[in-house]
Amino acid sequence: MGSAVPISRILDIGANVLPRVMHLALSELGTPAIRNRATLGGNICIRERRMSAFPVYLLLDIQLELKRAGTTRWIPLSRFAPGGGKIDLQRSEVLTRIRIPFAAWDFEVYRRINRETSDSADFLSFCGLARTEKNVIQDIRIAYGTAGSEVIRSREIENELVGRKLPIGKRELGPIMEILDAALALAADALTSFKRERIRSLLGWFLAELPDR
Amino acid sequence: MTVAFMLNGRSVTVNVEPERRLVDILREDFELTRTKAGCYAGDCGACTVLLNGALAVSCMLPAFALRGASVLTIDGFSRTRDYGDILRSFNEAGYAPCGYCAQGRILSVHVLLEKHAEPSEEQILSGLAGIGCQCADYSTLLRAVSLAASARKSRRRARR
Amino acid sequence: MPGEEDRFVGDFLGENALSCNVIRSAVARGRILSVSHPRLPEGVFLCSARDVPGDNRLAALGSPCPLLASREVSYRGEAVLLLCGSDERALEAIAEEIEIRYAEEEPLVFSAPSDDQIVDRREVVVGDPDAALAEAFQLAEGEYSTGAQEHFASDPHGALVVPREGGCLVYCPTQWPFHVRRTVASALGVAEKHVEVRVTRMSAHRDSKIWFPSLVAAHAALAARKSGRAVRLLVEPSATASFTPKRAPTRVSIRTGLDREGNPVAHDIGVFVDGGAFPVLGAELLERTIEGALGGYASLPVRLRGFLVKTSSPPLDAFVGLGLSQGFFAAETHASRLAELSSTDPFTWKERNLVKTGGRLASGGTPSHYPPPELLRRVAEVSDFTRKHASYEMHKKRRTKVPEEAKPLRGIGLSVAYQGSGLVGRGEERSSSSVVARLDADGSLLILTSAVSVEGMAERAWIDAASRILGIEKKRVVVAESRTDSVPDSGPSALSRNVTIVRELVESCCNAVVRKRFRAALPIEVKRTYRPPRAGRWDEERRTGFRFPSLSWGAAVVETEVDPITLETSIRGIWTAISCGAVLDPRAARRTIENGVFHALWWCTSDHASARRPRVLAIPPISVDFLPGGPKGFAGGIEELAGSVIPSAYVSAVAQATGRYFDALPITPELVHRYTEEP
Repeated sequence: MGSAVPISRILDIGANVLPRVMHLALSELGTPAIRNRATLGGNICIRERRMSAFPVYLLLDIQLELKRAGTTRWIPLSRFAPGGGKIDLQRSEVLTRIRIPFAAWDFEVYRRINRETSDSADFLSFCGLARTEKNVIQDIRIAYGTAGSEVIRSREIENELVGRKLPIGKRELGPIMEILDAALALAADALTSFKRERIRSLLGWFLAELPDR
Repeated sequence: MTVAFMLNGRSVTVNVEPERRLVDILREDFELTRTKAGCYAGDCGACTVLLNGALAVSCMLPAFALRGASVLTIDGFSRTRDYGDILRSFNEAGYAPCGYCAQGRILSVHVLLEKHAEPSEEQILSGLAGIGCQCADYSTLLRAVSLAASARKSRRRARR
Repeated sequence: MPGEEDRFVGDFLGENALSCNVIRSAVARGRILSVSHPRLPEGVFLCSARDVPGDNRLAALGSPCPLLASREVSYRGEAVLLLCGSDERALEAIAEEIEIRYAEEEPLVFSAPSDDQIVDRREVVVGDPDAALAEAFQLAEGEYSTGAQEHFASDPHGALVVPREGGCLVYCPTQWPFHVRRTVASALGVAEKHVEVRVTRMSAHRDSKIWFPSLVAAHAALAARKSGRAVRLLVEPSATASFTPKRAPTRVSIRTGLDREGNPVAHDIGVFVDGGAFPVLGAELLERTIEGALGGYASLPVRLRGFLVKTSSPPLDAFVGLGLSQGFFAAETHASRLAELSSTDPFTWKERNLVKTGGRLASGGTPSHYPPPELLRRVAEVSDFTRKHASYEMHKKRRTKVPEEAKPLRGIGLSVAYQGSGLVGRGEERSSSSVVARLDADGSLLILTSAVSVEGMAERAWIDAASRILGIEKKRVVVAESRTDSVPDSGPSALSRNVTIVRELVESCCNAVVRKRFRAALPIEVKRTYRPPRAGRWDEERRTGFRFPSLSWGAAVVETEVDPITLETSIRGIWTAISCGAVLDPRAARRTIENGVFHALWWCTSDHASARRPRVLAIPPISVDFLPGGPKGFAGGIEELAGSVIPSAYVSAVAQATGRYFDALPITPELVHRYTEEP
C-alpha cells in the first residue's frame, strides 16, 4: 500500500480484505473530511507520540519501505519506531510503501477509551490478537496505546500464554497480572492509576472472552 | 505562486502565497462567504467543501495542494437537483441547523448518500461526525436524511 | 441586497476596514510594570487604557469589568492593548515585539476563597431553621459541585465599527443590542444617540452573547476612534475557547434535618458561585443559583447563605439560563440521596415532597405555575422507573466491588426542576422593556423590538400571535431588523425572555391595536412596556410573590450503563415530561428539549478544560412529553429545562450503577475509577 494513500481510501477496500482490527482502528480516526486527507504514512511518522491505531500496526507486524536517492530498505515497524518517541527516518529518506502481512487470527479485538475526542487528546487503545486450536492458545499478541511516546507490549506475557488451555483460571491469572505489572513499571511514559487499572482489566477481559470463540 | 484549479465547474487561477488556506481564498478572493470560517483546525466543519468529490475541510487545505483539483462549494452545489432534494427534506423533517453549519451538513449528507443509498443510523452519525456545531438535534436529522435518501432514489429512478 | 441579519459578522468583508488584534495578558493576576513596543509604522495604531475617552468600564447586572486593563490584570487573556492596521501579517509581527512586564501575584482560586474574594452575598431565612435543625432526629449532609461549560458557538464574536459624525455605527452579533450601544457610547464619552447598533446574524449562541459582544464592540470602537477608520475585530477561535465567559462553576453544601421517618424538616444551605475575575452578570447569577439550590419542593424552614466568589478565571456566567441548573443539580442530587437514606423510591419521595398547588416553594415564593400531578408520574410510567430502580438497587446491594469481568452495571435516576424565565425578583420592572407595533395603511403589521431571535425561532412565535389576534395573514406581519435607531429597547434576549416577556408585549400591543382599529385612522402605532402583574409582585421583605415572571416545569428519567472494563458510561434511555402551558411550535419545542439534552450530557461527561468539541453521542431516541394545562394564555420558556433535570438524573443513575455516591460534574471514566478504587 502506498504510504500517501488517504485513510478513507484504505477503508473503502473494506473490512473483508483489511484485517478486521485495522479496519476498526482506522474507522475511528478523526472525521470523514480528515480521513480523506490523513494518510497511513502520516499517522505512522508522527515523532513525539504513538497514535491510537499504533498497537494495531505493531501487532500486525507491518513492514515499511524507506527510499532515498539510490537506496531502498524494508524494515518492520517495531524497528522503525523503537520507542522513546524516536523514528528511524534518515535524512532525505521517504516512507514510500507499507506492507500489511495477512495472517489469519481467530480472535481480533480493538477498543479505544475516550472515543468521542480526537486522536490528539488523551486516550487508551487496546489491540489483542489470538489463534487457538482445540482450546489451546497457539499464538497471542497484546498491545496498548497510551497517548505516550511508545506502545506497551509485553512479549513475556505473550510467551507465558502460548500453549495454555482455555479457559484461563483465576489462579493462573494472578502470575500473569504480575508480569503485566512489572512491564507497566518499566514503561517509558508515566501512567495514571486509571490507565494502569484499565490496562489490567482489558487483559482480563480479553482472556475471559477467548473461550467463546 | 500561481495555482489553477476548478472551482464550482469553472477553471480559475489565483496568485497566492503557497500556504494560504482554501477557506480564505474562497471567502476573500471569490466572495463565496456561504463557506464559513470556523476553528481553523479541522475540528468544526464550518468550512467544509468537496475536493475532487470528497469531503474536505478547506481550512486545512493550503493553496499548493489545489493545483489541478476540483473544488465544489455550497454555492456550486446549490445549483444541483441533489441540493434541492436535501434542502426540501430538511424542511419537511423540521431539521433546522444554523446558518453557520447548514452548508457543511448539506454537503456531508450529499456525500453520505452517494456512498450509501439507504444509510443506517450509525452511517449517518459517522457521515456527519465532521460537523462540530452543536445547534441541532439528532432525531430530526435521522428523519431528514432518510427523507433525502428516498427523494434522491425516486428522482434518479425516474430519470432512468 | 441582503440585510444585516442575513450576514454573520465575519462575512462583512468590504468597508475597507482595518484589522484589530487584541494584546492580552499573559498572566492570571498581577500588576503591569511596563509596556514597550517597536516604532509603529504609518497607518498602524496602538490603543491602551489611557486612550479611552470615556468610561473604561462595562457594567451589566453585576460587577463592572474594565474594557482595557490599566494598572493590574485579573485573568489570563484580559485585554491590555489594541493594535490595528490594514496588513494582518504586519500586525502579527508587531504584536510579537510588544513586551508587557508584570509583577505576578498568586492567582485567586475557587476551592477555598478568602473573605476578600466574596464580591456579593445573600442570606435567605424562611421560618426558624435553627430550632427545627436542633430538634431533628438526624442530619444528612452533602456537597455538590459543577464545572464550567463551553458554549461552542460556531460563529465568532466580532464587530465592525464605522466612524460617523460624533459617534459610530456598530455591526455585531449580540443578544442585547442596547447594552452594546450603552457600553460603546460610554467608552467613547458620547451620547447614546450618536451610536447605532445593527445586529448581525447569529448561530445558536446558548447565551454566550449576552454581554461579551459589548466588550468586543467597545474594543473595535476604541480602535476606530484612535485610527479614524472603520475597524473590524474578529475574536480568534483559540481566544474564544480560552478567554470568553463560560457556564459558572458552583459548589453547594446542603445539611438537612430529618425526622424519625426520614422526612425532611429543615435545611441549612451554603452556595458558592465562581464568577471569575469580573462577575458581570453576578447578582442575577447568584440569585438564580440560590433559587435552584432551594429546589422545587414544598416550603420548610431554611437558612441559605450564598456567596459570589471572584477568582482569576475569565468572567464566568451564562449558559442557557444563569445558575438555576447548577442549583437544581445540587437540590435534586441531594433529594435523591435523602430518598435513599429513608429507603424510599425516589419517585415516591419526590412526588410526596414536590410543591403542591397553592403551596409555597422553599424560597418562600409562590410559583406562577404549579407542577401538574402527572409530571413525575408520566416519566416514571413511560420509563418503568420504579421496577427498574428496585431491580438495580438489588443488584447494587449484592455487589461488594465493581467486578472486573462482570456484566454491564446499570442504574436509573429521576429528577424534577423548573425554569424561571425573565429576570429574577423585580428585575423586569427595573428593566422596563418595550415593544412597538404599527398597523400600516396597507393593513400590514410591523413589530419593532430589539429582541433578537436566533434563526427566527422566537420571531415565528411573535408573528403567529400577531396574526391570530389581528386576524391578518402571517405574511403581512413583519418583524423589523434590530437596529437601535429604529426599535425600542426590549432588554437582553436571554432567559427565555423572547417567548415569554417579549411575546406577551407583542400580544399586548396587538390587543391594543385591535381596540383602536375602528376608532383611529391608520397607521396605528402602539408601544407597550412590561409591567409585572401586581398580584404576584415579589416582596423581598416578606419573601412572598413570584420569584420569576414566568415558570415552567420539567422532569426526566435517565438510565445508564457503565462498562466495567473501560468505566465508560453509555445511555440506555432518556424520558422527559414538560409542563409549559401552551406549546407555541411543537416541532421547535421538541428540538429545543432534545438539543438541551445533548448539551446537558456534555456538561455531565466532558471535561471542558480540554476545550475540545464533544462529538454527538449515540443515544436511543429521547422521549419528550408535553403535558397540557396551566393558566389561560400561558406559554412558558423551556430552553434550560433539560440542563436542569438531566444532570442530576444522570449522576443518580451512575451512582446506582457503581454503588458509589457521585456529587460532581463532569463524571469522566477517570472519576469513576477514582471513586470505585476508594475503599
